[in-house]
Amino acid sequence: VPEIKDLVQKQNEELFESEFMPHLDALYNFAYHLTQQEEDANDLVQDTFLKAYRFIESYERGTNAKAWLFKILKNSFINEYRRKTNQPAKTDFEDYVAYQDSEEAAHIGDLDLRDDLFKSMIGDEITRALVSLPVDFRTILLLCDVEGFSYEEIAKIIDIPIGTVRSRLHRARNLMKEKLRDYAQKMGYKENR
Amino acid sequence: MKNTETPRHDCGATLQKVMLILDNELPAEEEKALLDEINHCSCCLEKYQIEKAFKEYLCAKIKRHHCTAALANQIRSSLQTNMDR
Repeated sequence: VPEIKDLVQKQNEELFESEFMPHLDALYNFAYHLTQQEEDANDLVQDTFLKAYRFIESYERGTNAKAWLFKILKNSFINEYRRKTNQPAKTDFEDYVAYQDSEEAAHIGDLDLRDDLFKSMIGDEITRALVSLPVDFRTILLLCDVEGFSYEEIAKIIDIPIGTVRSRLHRARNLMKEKLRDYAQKMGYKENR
Repeated sequence: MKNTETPRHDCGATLQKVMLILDNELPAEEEKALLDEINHCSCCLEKYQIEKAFKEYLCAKIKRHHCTAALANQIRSSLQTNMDR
């Protein structure tokens, strides 16, 4: 019946505007950090919103729209964008065993970001360090420290157990500290040890 | 006889939970108890403050990229095209 079809379409449009569009900026920021290209970020975000509309019936009004959209974007990135750009589909975490709860990790954990040299670093330098991380580590830092998602939400977005969220975050932060320390040392920073 | 002995403080165990506080992952009561413990140990307090500074540093320094009004319009317009099909 055309009237019912129009009514459903109108309701969906309202839901789209009220629950999905407010997250556009956050999704774009996430997409940009993943792809590193404005054009690719635009495509990825547009694709995410079109998919969200296509699957709008599976979204429950008033639930966590932001996490739902981030999950769609993350999946699109993995399934399509990475394949297109021939990026590795998965990080081999075994390569990073050195960053598990070892003495080295404890040492990196002592890096004191309150030092004036770190304070003087600008956003571009921090962003460069972030970009140099393997994408799975970059993703988890963005979701937790930039977007403020809970471990449970991150687990759902990335499809990994909460325990893995914790360990991956731990390793991502240690890798980030190491990058920042290397950079700071080049700038003359000396650790007090 | 009532056991009045307080549990021994374990820096390692306490520090493993520091990020849970900073990531808001602990129930309020547990967070308060852990913060009390951290405040009574200078070693844990120092590490806690370092981790806190790191998290705040990342939040503040990672550059945010903003989408353009053109993208928002483009999304609305592609949606309209999709719906009209």
